[in-house]
Amino acid sequence: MSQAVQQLPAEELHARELAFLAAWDGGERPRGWRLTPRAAVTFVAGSGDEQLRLSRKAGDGLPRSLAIPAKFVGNRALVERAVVTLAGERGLMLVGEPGTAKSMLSELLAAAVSGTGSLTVQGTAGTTEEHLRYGWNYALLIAKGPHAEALVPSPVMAAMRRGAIARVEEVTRCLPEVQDALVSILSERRLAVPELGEQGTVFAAHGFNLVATANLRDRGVSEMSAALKRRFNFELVEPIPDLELETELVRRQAAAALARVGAELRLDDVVLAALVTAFRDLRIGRSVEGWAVEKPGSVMSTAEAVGVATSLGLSAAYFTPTDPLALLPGYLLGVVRKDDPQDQARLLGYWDSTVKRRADEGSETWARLWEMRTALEE
Amino acid sequence: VSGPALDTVERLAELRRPFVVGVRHHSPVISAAMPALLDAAAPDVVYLELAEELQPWLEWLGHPDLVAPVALAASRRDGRGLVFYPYADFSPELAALRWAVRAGVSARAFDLPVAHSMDEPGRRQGLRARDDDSGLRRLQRAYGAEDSEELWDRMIEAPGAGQPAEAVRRSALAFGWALRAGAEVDEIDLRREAWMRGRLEEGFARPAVVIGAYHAAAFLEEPLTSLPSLPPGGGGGRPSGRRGGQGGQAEVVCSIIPYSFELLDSRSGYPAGIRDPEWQQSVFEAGADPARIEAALTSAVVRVCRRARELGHPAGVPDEREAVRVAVDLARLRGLPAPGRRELVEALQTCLAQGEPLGRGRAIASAMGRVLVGIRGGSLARGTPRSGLGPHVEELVARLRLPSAGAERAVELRLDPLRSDLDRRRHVALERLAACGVPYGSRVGPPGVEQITERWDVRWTAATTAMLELAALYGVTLDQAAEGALRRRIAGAAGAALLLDALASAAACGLGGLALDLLRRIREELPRRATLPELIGALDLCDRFRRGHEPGWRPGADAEAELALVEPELEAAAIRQVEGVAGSDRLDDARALLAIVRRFSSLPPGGAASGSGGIGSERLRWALRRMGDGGSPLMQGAGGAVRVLLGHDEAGAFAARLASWVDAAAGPGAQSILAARLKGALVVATPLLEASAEITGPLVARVDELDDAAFLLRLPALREAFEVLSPAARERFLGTIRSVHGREIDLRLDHAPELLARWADADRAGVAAAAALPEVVP
Repeated sequence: MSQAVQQLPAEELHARELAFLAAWDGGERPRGWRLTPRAAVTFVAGSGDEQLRLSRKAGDGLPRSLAIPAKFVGNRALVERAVVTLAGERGLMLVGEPGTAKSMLSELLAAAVSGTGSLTVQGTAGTTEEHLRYGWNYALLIAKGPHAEALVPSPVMAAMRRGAIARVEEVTRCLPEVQDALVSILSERRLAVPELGEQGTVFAAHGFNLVATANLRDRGVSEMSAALKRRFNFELVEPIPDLELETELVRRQAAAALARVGAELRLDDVVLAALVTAFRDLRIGRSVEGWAVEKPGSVMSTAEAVGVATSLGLSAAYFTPTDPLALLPGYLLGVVRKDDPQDQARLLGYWDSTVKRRADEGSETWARLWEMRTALEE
Repeated sequence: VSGPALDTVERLAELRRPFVVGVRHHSPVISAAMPALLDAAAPDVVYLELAEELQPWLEWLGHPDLVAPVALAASRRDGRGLVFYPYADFSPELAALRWAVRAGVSARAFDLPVAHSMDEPGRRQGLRARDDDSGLRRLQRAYGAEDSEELWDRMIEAPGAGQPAEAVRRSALAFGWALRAGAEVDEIDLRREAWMRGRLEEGFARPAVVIGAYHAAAFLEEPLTSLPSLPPGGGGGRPSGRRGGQGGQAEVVCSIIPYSFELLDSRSGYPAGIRDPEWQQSVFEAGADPARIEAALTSAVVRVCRRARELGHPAGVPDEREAVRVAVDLARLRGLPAPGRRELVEALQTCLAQGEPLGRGRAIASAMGRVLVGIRGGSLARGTPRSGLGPHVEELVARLRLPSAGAERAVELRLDPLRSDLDRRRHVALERLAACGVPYGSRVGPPGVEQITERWDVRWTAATTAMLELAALYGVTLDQAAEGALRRRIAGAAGAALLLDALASAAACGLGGLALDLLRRIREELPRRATLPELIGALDLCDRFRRGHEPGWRPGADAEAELALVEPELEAAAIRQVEGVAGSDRLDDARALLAIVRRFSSLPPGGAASGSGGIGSERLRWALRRMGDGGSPLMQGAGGAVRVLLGHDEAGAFAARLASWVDAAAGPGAQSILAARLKGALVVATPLLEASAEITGPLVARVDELDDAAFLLRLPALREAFEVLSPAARERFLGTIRSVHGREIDLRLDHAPELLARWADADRAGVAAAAALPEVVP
């Protein structure tokens, strides 16, 4: 793929690292895996500052040593558990609040384990069983009758045949009866196509497993059946615990988003820090200093913070430069005021308590933001 | 650990005079390795990191009939210098002592005597690592550990399974040196270490030392030829230290008590514990052998699943199998010889909890608590001297001239704790006994009313003696026991009311440290969870402390600072809650609203109202306006009155509204609304109504102008509303009406009520007849 696409898939973006890691760890691999579990964890969570070195004989055309950057910012133990789960007999269910990089993690895991993250079903309220099992090419079906060529496999079926990781995004947005199509696939590891008779059953090759992601708290999601839950190991993906890490991530991603449109991110560290701090305060319900903050009902995810940072960057790039701090309250209000009118009062409350207190304690940034309180009142 | 550090560790490991075993206070792998280590070193004496006064108790601690867990404690009579050491089978010191008893080698307690120490409670426990050490933080980050306990698990316990005893000893020494290198060793530790080095000069040929890994490096230095000089009387070498006693050695109380795993779990809030003692016990019993640890893990997983099933959550064989597999595979991925506690916990969460922090997740957590913490209790060998709380309290009671055992009847005491020091100490002692759950004194008098003179009924019964024995579990002295009991009470599920109760008790018991902790917790939790009346209760409590109305506790500087932080937070939270009570129909909430207003109206007049006052006053104004317009009838009344009190609204405007409510109550069902609105207004604004004719005037005028039928229709509602006032307040209100009318109202009836009613009926019939007449134009 060329520069024409907006976002490259993980396995292409990181092709060099994947090849390097495959050569780096020659240990035992679960059957059907491209990397060892240790290398898969390193691919996702990074090697720290360490330069990994290849043994002398391995790998042509590969760098002799490479430091792997962390792609998923957060808990390394969680990545370890996820990799261990994929090597077993249960699927992996990543749950958590919206915007906690669950989908990115699932793509990275699939790319590390089976070299592709593209065997994906995007779950929606309109997803049917055919998307999870198989469909038919009706023209061929009518012309030739039920017959292997007329079968249109779903990404899940394709993954079973290849022994790869299949991803089901937003599984809780599918209706429960559709979700349950996964139950027998996970427990029996086979998919029967009764129309094709006895030869029709597809057996999962070694290496096949499922990664599903789900929002438990968001609106418009369905319950999962107990039977389905029992076939998954659950990992709760938490928002990024560390302020500095989150600020850094927001900066990186906003810069990447701006780079895609050919602009440069010109945003002061002060603004970015204030933005991320406000998001964290409102998300956690407690300010950095430990003061109580009333949480709004809207989701204050890192992804939303990236969105605001990008917008600020875009307005700095395309319009006459103004003080980005002055725009911040308006954008925050846009994020907060989504469905509950009370949330505006909560944001005002945040301004009246935390922002004011910081302003009183002599922070110039926050004093400026306190002055902009009128922007929130309309 | 690398370079020169490695060199130091090497020298430590090679040291033979003394042979040093660096430990953590609880460590299954080191305990399991201990016999092998000591067999190999074959020492002729084993020194233990225990205060010297505890030497006589080693006989009972090492007794073959003793069943762990037990705890040793020592403190000075004045309660200072407390040391507290709980022991389980997996405590290396106990393992070393047991080895010494079996081998017939003498064991000696060689730490600085309690009589010489100025330690705060809990200073001496285990690892001696402060969480602000930069070296420690670096290691924690590298190992992904959250605290030093977890770090030890990652560095010693998990990789140590199945390793040779000597390798385990070396890794513990390296750990201790990693904590110590680069950081400054504080003065108390230096003095203790100097003392212990001095004790080594007793002339044994092959001494062994079992000591916290952090202190191990102290034995590399040259032993001192003489002991550091210590002034007599236990004042310690610190110039700022207060002298305990009038010279001579401070008296020290020691005791040994049976302990339990529930208390040993570090999350119970008791000092010197470890997480999940039952799991640690099973690692110790497995001899830290990887294969047997895996078996213990399987058994733990199965028991957790069984317990989860008992709690009504399906968790079957597939779940058990998967949890064991994940734990074992995680260990393999992390390069560990056997799964440790963390792998077990992670696997159980991943495979069983299904991503639900509540509901199922909570059931699994409770099952894990039961299985991994355990309920094992210890017992002492027969003949162990009894000591501790019982004698201490008997003596205390005698000293305070309170009734002792054998009294026939209850004695009624009147205490004046704010005036007399003896009464203050009695107050504190009685409150502490009550906090321990020991039936001795009971407070007489109406609850919730603050009185300067307290009345207590006090009697020492058989139950007092029995409960004292139980309370001895929490400590050897009364303050320690009271603190322990209170901490236990708040350790589990803690509602806001429970926290406030505990805070009141802690302050009354004079437990400043606990009170401060509770204040911090209250600041953390109450703003998010408490109801409005609870928040007001908390604010009242804080006021009391600040004004010094609590005889048991005078807040120190740090408590003052904390109070100054707590109050604005609670106030802000109370203001947030104001919106929440807008729909309430409980009088309590209306009263709480009044209490908030009292706080705000104590600000300079106009201050709060003009928005320059406390944080969130704007928000309060907004909320009150909304409440006045759209709240429940009760809160409309209360909110409206409050707005007048705060100066947000004109008295006249409110008076007009008050009067209009009477008019509005025309239809059926409107009566209860009128009653509720008036109730709300009256609860809040009685003083206002009494004081200002401006407000009562329009109301009385409207009622005056009602005709009889309309008045009778509203009468029940008016009656109901005025019921909320006390008789005295009603009387005063009547006085106000009298002054409005400007004439005396005679409420006595000259005639029988039946007769009056008939006259009224006749009047009404006449009026109706006259109205029915055709209009006559003159």
